[in-house]
Amino acid sequence: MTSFNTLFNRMFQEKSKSVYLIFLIQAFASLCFTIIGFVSGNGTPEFVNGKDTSSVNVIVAFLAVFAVMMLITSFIADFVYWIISSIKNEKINRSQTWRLIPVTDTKFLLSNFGTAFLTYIWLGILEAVTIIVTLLPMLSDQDVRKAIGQASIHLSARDWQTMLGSLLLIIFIGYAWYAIVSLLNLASRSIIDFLPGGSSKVWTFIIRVIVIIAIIWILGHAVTIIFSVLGKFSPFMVNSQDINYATTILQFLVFDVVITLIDILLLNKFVEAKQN
Amino acid sequence: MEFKDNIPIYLQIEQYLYRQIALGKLTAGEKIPSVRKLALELTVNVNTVQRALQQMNSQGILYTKRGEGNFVTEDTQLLAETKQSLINNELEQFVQNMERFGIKKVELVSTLENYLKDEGDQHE
Amino acid sequence: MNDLLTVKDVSYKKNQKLVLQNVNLKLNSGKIVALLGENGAGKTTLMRIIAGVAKNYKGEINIEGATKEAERKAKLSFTDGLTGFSDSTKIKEVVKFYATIFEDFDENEFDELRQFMKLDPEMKLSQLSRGMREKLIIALTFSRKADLYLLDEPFGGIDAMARKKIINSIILWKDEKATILISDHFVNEISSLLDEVVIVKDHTVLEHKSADDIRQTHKSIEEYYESFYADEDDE
Repeated sequence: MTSFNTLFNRMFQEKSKSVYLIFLIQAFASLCFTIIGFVSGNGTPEFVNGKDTSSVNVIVAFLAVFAVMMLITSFIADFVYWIISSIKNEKINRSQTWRLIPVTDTKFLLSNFGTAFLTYIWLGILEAVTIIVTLLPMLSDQDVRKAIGQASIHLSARDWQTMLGSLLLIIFIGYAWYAIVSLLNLASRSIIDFLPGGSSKVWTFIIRVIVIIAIIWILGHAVTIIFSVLGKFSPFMVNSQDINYATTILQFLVFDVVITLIDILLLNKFVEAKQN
Repeated sequence: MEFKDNIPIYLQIEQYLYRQIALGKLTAGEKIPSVRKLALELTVNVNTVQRALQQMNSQGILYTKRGEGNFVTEDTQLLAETKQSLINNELEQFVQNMERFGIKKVELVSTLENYLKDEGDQHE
Repeated sequence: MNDLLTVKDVSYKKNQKLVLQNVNLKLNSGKIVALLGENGAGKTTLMRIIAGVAKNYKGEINIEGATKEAERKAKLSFTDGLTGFSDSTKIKEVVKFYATIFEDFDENEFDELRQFMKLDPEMKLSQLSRGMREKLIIALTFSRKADLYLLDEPFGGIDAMARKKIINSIILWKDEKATILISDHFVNEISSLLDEVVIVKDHTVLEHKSADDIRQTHKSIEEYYESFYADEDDE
């Protein structure tokens, strides 16, 4: 039997290939935009800090503009990877090469979701590091250092709590996305394989559309039910704001678990690997 | 070597090895090729070669040295008998075929003599 | 001898169409067995069910005590079309995938097989001819130390030399205890190799006989196989 770790590492490696590709394209595009900006812009680059304007070194300015470009393009790049990783997930779910690996369907699915999510974060880290590193030379400028020194950040315990909560919420919502995409794919595939008539493209398409609409409708109702039940149940006795926050996190957690269980059931009982 | 697909393969492997021995390609006391090598040479299953070799072992034509492989027996009398039985087989086939052509057993010797004489003349 | 594979009362439908019905099959260890039947008879489906990649079937599969799909997958090695890899993947990358994923994958053995098949590890999948691709698939399949090898039509559309290589690799690399099930719709090319023959027809396993038993009746394997389709030609 193949261990979960082995499978997870392998899937991560496989998926990180597209992360690197997207990151390189993004960096190249940002570089092009920066160059275009410098060529079409006139005069020496200037930075405005309050009333002071100060000329800075061309290379430092160039890198700073590049960092900004990376930040802007990261929204597009992240969105593209969001879509690519979802497609890749569903391809793996139906690939015989992958499905022949001796692991349980539960481990298989969790590894697939987990690696999609982790590679997504990996892309975010790559972008963040690039932006920070290209901004570092700015510290050589005294005014910049002064500005940073003045901006004092005070984080209270509550702020930390809120940040942690938001992080959890983001993770659960992100996971929910992959789980729902799989639900749509696996459920429609199960139904297509069950119904007579089989593999005509038009037929498959019609069924997929119907199933997707039906599932979204059901999900809408399920969410209302889950959330209204959990809404009455408040395990965290702090103050009212915290309760709302904690409950929302709990609601998404339950939602994720339920969808994952359905996905596992579909993968285990109905959805075959594609014949090759 | 090509096998007839309507006779059990292990029997044909035995025949093949008998022939090799009778033709002197494998001599008394000589090690015969390994099972895998034979299997590869004849494009057959290793199991099938083993079955054939086992039979030949029990007949005494081959003997096994542990860890070394199979060897042709050094019992020259047995080898001579084996050769004789192969020759007999050939002759039996020959006689049967001649009978199909309508040549009776009494005419066989003269037919063969005539043939050999003609053959000899042509070569001179 | 102990049964290596037991297929019990397996039925399978897809799109409400019957593909297999009440299939029963037992294989001993150490055999080379042909799974014969026309195209579309259900040979591939049967292999996919045994391998645990076809779902929603009725009945039971047992490979040396393993009945759960994941456990079965660990005990068998199935020829996979390598569709999980993009065309630009190099052979050595495919090998790396197999070596990390499958505990029983032996890289030294793969190297021997690769040299025997004359495959260049730097070649990309897109550069391989049909025969080379098939040889790679066989090399990958045999490099695992499994109890059961399922070869799904390994001779489809390849030239005589590649066929010879694959047949020789079966002879050379087959483990004594391992059983190989080879599906084909044509038996001549492998008949001298076979221990047993399984005929798939009319959605089920119609017959299962030893090759020597068939030859004992002075019939060739091919004649035996064709006799199952004889009445259809008369129509």
